[in-house]
Parts: sequence; structure tokens; C-alpha cells
Amino acid sequence: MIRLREAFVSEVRNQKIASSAMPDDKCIVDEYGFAYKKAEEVRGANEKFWIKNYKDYEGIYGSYLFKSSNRRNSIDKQSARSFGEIMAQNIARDLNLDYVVYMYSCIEKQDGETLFGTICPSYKKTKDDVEITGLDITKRYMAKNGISTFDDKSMELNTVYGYVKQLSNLYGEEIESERLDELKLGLLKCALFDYCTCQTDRHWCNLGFLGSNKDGVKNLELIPLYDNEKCFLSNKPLGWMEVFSNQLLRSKQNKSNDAIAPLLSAFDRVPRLGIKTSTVVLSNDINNALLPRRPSEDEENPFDVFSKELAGEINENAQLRDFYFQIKSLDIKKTLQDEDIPESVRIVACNAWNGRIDTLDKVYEQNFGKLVADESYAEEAHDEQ
Amino acid sequence: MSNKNVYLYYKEFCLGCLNYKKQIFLWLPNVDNIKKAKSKYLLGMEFFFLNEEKSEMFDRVPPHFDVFKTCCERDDIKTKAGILDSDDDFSKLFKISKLDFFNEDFVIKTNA
Repeated sequence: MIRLREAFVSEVRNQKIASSAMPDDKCIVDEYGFAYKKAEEVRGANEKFWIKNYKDYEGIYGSYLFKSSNRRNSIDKQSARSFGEIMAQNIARDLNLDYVVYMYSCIEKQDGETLFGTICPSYKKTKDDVEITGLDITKRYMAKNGISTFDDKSMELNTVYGYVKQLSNLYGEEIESERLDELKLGLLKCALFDYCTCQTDRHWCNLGFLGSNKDGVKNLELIPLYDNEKCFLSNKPLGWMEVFSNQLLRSKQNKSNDAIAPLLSAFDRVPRLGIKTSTVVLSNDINNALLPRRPSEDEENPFDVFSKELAGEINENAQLRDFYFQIKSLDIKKTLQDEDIPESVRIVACNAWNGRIDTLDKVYEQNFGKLVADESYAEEAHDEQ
Repeated sequence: MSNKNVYLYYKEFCLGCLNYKKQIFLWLPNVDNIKKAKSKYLLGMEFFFLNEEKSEMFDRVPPHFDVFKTCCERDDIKTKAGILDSDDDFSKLFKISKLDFFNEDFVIKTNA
């Protein structure tokens, strides 16, 4: 764990950074005495800030984001969010997905409070990199096409097909069709990853693309997976995880889910990045916030719609199907084996993961028959063994 | 008009300022700087959504400033900026623009 200490410059004089090189205000000192400048990050609902390595103060390199996993306004202050981030990262690693690397961290604040959380580097590689969030793309698409309110396109808000359509409309002449296909596959993999990890926080600022002020969108790529801290219900307090995992184990022994049905319903929350049909609506109260769509009584449950659309993509897209087989063959217990993660958190995660795969298999079978691996994938898997 | 301004930057360029009077936000662009920023930062400035040539009035916090308004709900930011529940949206923006933000892309400052 990386320990950080919030301090005034005067407290760190004669440390490893020469006093002449120190910024003239608050800085952060790590466990080795290195000084960093602190800068605010405005996005997100929880306490977070950037830590800029003083040596590379104006650059991209050496900048790290600290995110607190403490819960707001709660007696049970400690949530499982840091563990959620690390679990998602371990899964992404084993599935060969691009992901932002997070590390456990804590900061001792001057008021005596200790904030636990994670620290991660900026995903920008150079000063020319431009981060384009899903929200930016949609806003630009609306501006170009004279659409004045988000409602005009509400059914395509924050969906894979919506983004592909918008990118194609905005940059169809600059981005080669193969790259657009790659971006679409990347978004579909992200949606499938979110489904299996119960990641319900992929709103349009938690996904994006990297372009460049130098090369424009020619080499546009997806930003590595980030902000997965709410996967597997990790937003819940650790105490809640303990109770829930015990009930899960008991219900397995009793072979009945009746007693924990209300808790299990939390697993049915639909991912926010939809496939074709939007799973979100725009909040009236908070700027540009996307909230889960509540269907009217005669509408189909968004989770069921999402599952069917995802199964349909798996059926039609061989590369996504291969990826799903990779997911199915993952030894989830092994992937999540990490002594820092409480057992209760891992039990909940493993149950959620397996439950989601069971559900998707059933939906697939109902609509397209039994899921069978392509020959190429079966051969590759055989070779690897 | 209020004698307080909140300035919007992209990288090193001040793109204009926001003023507030009688519950109306007034955007005043810095036309020369916007042109310079657009020629230097082609892609990044594609995502600039305010009027580039004329002043513009808004009855709510305009684009690019809204993300800063939203973060005023966060306890850590509230404390650091000294934001009070009774502050109006512009006062919140003004207080928050005094903080040191991670200097990438669009940020707000109190000085031009």
C-alpha cells in the first residue's frame, strides 16, 4: 500500500526534495519523503484529487489520481470500493483487456482522518492526448446535427450502437472502417465485462476515447477500463458484505434463495452502457447525470432487454463470442484470490459472476439454442492447454 | 454586472469569462484567444460548446462550467472552497475557481 501524508512544506524541509524545488503551498509527502503537489479533480461523487510528481509538475507523467473509498454520510465509513476496483482489474488482466492499473493507498490527513482508497496513473500518455468522453461525443453529435435536447435521442443515450453511429457521423471520413469496427468490439466487450462484473456505473463520463491534438481522431482508441469500483456491489459497506456473504453461504446449504431474494435483486441492476436500447435517462436535477431507466408497467424490464441484446451480439459476432468463452473459462476464484480482499467481498463477487453467466447462457439458449464454441476458439483453447 | 468574473481556460488560453446579474449568466468570449486555441489544439477545441464570437446569456450554469457546479455537492470540495449552502450557483463557481485544479483541458480560474 502506498502511504501518503498531507503536510505543509515546512514539515518536509530537509527531506529528499531540495527546498528550492518545493511549491510554496500545501504538498503531499509519501512514505519515502518525496513531495507532490495536490490538484483538485472535479468529476465524480466521492473525494478524489490528483497528485502531481513535483519533478514533472507540468507534464502528464508522474500524475496520479487518489480516490477515497470512504462512504459519505455513513456510520459504516469503509466501503468495499477499493476492493471492487482491484477485483475488476484482476479480471480485466486475465481477460487481456486494457485497464488502468490501480493500487491500494491511504492518506493521513492533517485533521487526523485517514482516507483509504486507490491510486492510479493518468491514462494519458502524452501532452497531446485528448480525452473524449461519451458525453463529449454525444454533445458534439447534437451540435453538428442541430439537436437541441438530449430527449430527442433518449433511446440511444449511452449505448454501444449510439456511440458507433455518432462517431461514424462525426468522423466517418477520418476514421477507417476497420478502426470503427475495433471501437465497436471494444465497447461490446466493455458492456459484456460490465454485465458479468455487475458494473452499473459505466455512465458517459466513465467511458471515453483517446484522440490527439497532433493526429486528430486517426488513431482514436478506447480509454482503458477505469472506474470499476462499484462492480460486484462494492459500493456497499464492508459490514453489509459480511452479512450478505453469510446469508449467501447459508442459502446454498439450504438450497433456497427465498430468504435473500431482496438482496439478490440488487444483482439485477442493469449496466448503464446499453447495447442498442438505452438503459438510462437524463436526470432533471443533476447536470448531465444518467440515471437508471424505470420502465412503465407495460414495458419489458431493461435488464431483460439488455440480456437479450447482449446474447444477440454474442450470436452474431464471432470475436465477441470468443471473448465470452474466455469469460466462461475464467477461474474466477483464482482470479480474485488476493489476501488483501476480505473473503466476504470475494464470496459476493464469485456468486455474482457465476450468476450472471448462468443468466446469460439461459437467455442465449432461449433465443438462439445452445451456445457452442467456434472451431477456431476450441482449437486455440486446446493448443493453450 | 457583478464585478466578479469566472474565467474559462483551455490549456494556456483564456477563452472568455462568465459574469452574473439578476440570475442571468453572461458569457463573454475572448475571440482572439479562442482562435489561437482552435488553431493550436484542433481536436480538443472541437469540444468547446460556447459561443465563439458573441456574448451569450443563460438562465442556468452554461456548458463547461456545469461540471464545476456539480462538484460543489462534494464535501471535500465544499470545505476547501468555503462553499455555503446559501450560496447561489455563481458564488459557488467563483469560490471553486480559486482552487488549484488539475491543469488539463477546460478549467476555471478567477484571474484572466
